Amino acid sequence: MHNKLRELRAEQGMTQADLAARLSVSRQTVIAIESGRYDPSLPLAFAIARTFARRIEDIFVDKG
Amino acid sequence: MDREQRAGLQYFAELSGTMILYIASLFARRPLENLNPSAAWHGFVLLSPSVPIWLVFWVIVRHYRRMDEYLRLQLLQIVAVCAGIAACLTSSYGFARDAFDLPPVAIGFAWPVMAACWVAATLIVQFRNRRSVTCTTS
Repeated sequence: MHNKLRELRAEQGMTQADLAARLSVSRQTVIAIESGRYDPSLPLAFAIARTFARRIEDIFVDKG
Repeated sequence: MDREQRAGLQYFAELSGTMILYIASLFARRPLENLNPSAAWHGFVLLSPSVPIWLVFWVIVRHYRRMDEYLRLQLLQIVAVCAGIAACLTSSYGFARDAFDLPPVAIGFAWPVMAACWVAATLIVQFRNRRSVTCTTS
């Protein structure tokens, strides 16, 4: 799954540590999601969507 | 200090505390081993090092509960790979004993063998995850 997390974070001027603190996860998790190595759970995807005031499908795009 | 660093520090402190307790119980047990073997407390003294071993398990469970979903997944991968390595190693040694007439291994070796398997599993999982980053970003 592709995602636009890195772009959205950059738009908001947030660091990975800032985003991790906002989402109550580790920085490693943010790095793993941004690099496409890990697809978050639905609750975490909703939390990300809420943080950036977007819909989940605007942030996460199915490769297929 | 952020949440991640605090959790890491807490895990390190708890694990170090239990390991110190384990080593202390081993040393404390020595002089009491042959002292009045018929006494009721003798069995408890001999069993005392097993208490910190259970505490190590409890510390790992506590650490697991503090982790987020991605770190939990990583830890579970490490546990799975560690179990696989340990199973292959122990069964291979059983056959190697028959083939090369090797000596039986004392149960006390279980701990260092598990620790070595854990380190190997951690390296394998981290290497695989780094490789997948290289693949996805290239």
